[in-house]
Amino acid sequence: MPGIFIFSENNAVAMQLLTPGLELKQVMQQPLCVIMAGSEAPEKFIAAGADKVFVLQAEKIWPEGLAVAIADLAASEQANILLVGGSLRGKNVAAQVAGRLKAGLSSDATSVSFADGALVTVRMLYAGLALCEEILTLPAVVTIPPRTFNEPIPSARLGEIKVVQGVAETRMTISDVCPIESEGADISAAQRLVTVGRGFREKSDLALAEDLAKALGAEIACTRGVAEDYHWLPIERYIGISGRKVKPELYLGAGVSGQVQHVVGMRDSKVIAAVNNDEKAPIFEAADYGIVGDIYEVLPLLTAALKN
Amino acid sequence: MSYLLTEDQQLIQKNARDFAKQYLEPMAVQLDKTGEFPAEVVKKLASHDFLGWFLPAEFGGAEVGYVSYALGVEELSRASAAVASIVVNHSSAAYAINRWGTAEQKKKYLPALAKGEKLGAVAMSEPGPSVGQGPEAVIATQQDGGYVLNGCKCYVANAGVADLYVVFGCTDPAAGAKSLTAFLVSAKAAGLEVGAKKSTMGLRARPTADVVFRNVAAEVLGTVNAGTPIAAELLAALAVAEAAQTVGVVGFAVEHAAKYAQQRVQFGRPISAFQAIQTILAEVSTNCYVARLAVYDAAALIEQGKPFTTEAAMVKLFAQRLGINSLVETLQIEGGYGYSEEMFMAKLFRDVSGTTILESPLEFPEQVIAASIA
Amino acid sequence: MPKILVCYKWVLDEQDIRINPNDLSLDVSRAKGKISDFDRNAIEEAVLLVERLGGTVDALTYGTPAAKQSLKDVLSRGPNKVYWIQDPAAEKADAHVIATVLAGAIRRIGSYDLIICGEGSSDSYNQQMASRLAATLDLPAVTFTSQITSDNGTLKFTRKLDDCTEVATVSGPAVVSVLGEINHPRIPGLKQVLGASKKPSEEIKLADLGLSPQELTPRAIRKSVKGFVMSRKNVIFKDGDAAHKVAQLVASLAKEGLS
Repeated sequence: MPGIFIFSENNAVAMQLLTPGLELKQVMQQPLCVIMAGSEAPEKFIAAGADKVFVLQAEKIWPEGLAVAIADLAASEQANILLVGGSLRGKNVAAQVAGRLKAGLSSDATSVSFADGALVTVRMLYAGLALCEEILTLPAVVTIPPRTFNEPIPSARLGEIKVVQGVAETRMTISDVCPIESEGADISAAQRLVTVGRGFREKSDLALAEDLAKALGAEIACTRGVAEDYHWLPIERYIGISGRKVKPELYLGAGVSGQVQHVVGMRDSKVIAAVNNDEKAPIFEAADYGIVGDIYEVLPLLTAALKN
Repeated sequence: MSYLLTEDQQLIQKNARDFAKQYLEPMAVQLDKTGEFPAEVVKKLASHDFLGWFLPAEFGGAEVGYVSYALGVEELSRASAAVASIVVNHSSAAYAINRWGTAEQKKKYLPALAKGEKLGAVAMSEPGPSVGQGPEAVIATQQDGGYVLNGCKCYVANAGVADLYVVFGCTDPAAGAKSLTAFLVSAKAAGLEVGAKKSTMGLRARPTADVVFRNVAAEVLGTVNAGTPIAAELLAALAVAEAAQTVGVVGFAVEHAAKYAQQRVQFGRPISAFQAIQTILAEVSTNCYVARLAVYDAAALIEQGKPFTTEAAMVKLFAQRLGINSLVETLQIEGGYGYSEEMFMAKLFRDVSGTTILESPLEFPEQVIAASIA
Repeated sequence: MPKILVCYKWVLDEQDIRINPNDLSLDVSRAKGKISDFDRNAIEEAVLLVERLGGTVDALTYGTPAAKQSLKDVLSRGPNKVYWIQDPAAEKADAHVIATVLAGAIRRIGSYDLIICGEGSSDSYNQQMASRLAATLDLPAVTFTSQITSDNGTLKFTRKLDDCTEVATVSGPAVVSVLGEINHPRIPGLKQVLGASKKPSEEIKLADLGLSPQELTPRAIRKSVKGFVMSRKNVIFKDGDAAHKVAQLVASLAKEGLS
């Protein structure tokens, strides 16, 4: 049945995509379907709003090996839109599906809507310098970054579950799967972040930022230089065009100069604050609130004031 | 200016810029502080053929022509005029051998210079009032079918790291400049002593020292007593390369000052909005643009084998004024920020003055120009 | 001795692009062209592989007539030959069209053991090309590769994904995309620049690829492009002592509903 389809190899992300999916369903008046692989319960997708769930079964569940199977399923079901979770695996699957269907694909869309018979998305260009509105003809594929949307609230609903056999990729073997050592919390999920930059002189001085983070209920993040050059913090904690993208309620940069490559990673934050002793620092142009001052003086005072 | 350049020249310019960004920018300030000779960077220069720019391919050179060479020198100078100066002085020695050497001399000396396995230097200045005058003048006397040199050369660029020196000496002190002759001397020759490395105001990572000759064996480069026209042309070619350095430093200084002016806020506006600043930046940029065109015009003459000494003198004259004046202005723009030693502009100021120094009275540009239009 | 093809894109250098303050449109008039950053890594990786294992490297690009400037640049970086297709419509081409044209050209040129792309272009960063080419040419895709090693003649690709790394081994030809961290592209020396003139470049005419107008119609069109400008409150506290400024900031955060 022509409809709006969703796929992610990560079920939590697939759940998030139901939110924009439901909006599209409302406008286009077409059913919303989820394609999933793996053994998790498909019913929760129904509860969250899906009309039908296709459970792909194949000999080997290596998610990207299912691209052809997904493409064939989308084609046979005459899917109009396929929303795919924008993990790296998801992007690979999405592009293979788009290639097979000779369809358009909008990558890393931060918004997706249907208007005047066309699908409209918004995405970045030129390393964040510009935003672009794209119009896609149908059928179209869109990848959406994880955590762009929240999961819909589930309710008691009925829907269809269909098991489909798929043929997985056989020409490739995958081995030596090693998790990347992640030391600590996922900063992209944090609601508040205290970000440290090169304004700090020594690694032990980061304790000032840690105290502030505790007082704020925030996680610690950093700029690229602090992670990749100084190795004071693991690379999973750095925000930037080639690092993590965050949109917390509060971003507070301490000793962060505010280079474009860093700002791109945090510019969707709700409130941006900064402390830097250089009044010319670009971070102040990107901030809602700022203090021009010495972080070694300001941070302890700020921590104390917040504790009261 | 890209419309004036061939595809190859544009690619070479881009590669030189990338090289400067990757290898020179990160260490420029440190090199200036320590004055340490950047041996590793010189090896990298060699591996990119940046020590044999215009030398013939048959001797291992890149044979890219003097315009490409000047482009490369300008780009390297933007990041580190000191490193560029090592290249320029080495290349000057190579130019001399390529231009006036016999077939044997070229075959013997150029390949190692082209590949950067050996470095070159040119020894011209002396403590006395003019080359050939004074008690320490380098005098060449015949001995055992060859020549030996006695005397002292001062402020020799690349002294101590060079393996080969082009040395100018007089065969007949009474005849003075008319007996000036160019010689080739190996750094290993007995009796050659390199003095202590001098601490210079700018271009600090490029070695400068006095060289003393005591009965040092030397072979003639070119013909005996033909040293004055050789020196004149050599210095003219060097002047064009040094002017390319000046343009590189000034161009970078202007960009640095302009960026600073955009960010520095006084009285609620960026200082780039004030007319005084705008006037300064406009003048300096204009002079730099004009100087650059002149440098590449002169370089093209050299590349095409046309006479160039008058144009080189004009380029030198203009670059001298451009260099110091522009850096005084850009330093002004950056105010106290630029004046403090940690800041980049102070180093550029010290470096640019090193690119405009006169080596010898043979070079006084006004004289050369006046003579040509008489 | 692999036969390798590198697909690359000639893009505008985003560092030269300015935003017009009045209407936020992009001013690209001063933007110079460059080989897309990660494509440079792709070219370098192909050249490194051939230096280790023998074989050949060809390069292929589809672009506007401006892409002609890329040919010598690419050849100076090591490939033996470069193919190019020029088409003014390339400016409006989306990833679908680009992949369709490249695949058509590849079918015409011949078969390769390895087709390498950068993981995404520096202008639009769609991150689609390798996967699309793989699907179109019916080859396996190995994307986001951080390392390629040879184990007794078998190539092993280490992929770096969001939360893990894995090693992919492929039997037969594959399309690969590489990450920027895979290598440091060497800057060509002078002799390599001059040597580029002696290497062949071949233009393939779009008309000779036998693609229908439908296939060449973009599926994604840019409706609008606007420069992104941060418009924040910019309330900066710089007067008074530190305690005073801290009090002001805390008060502002409280007003925003943050502690």
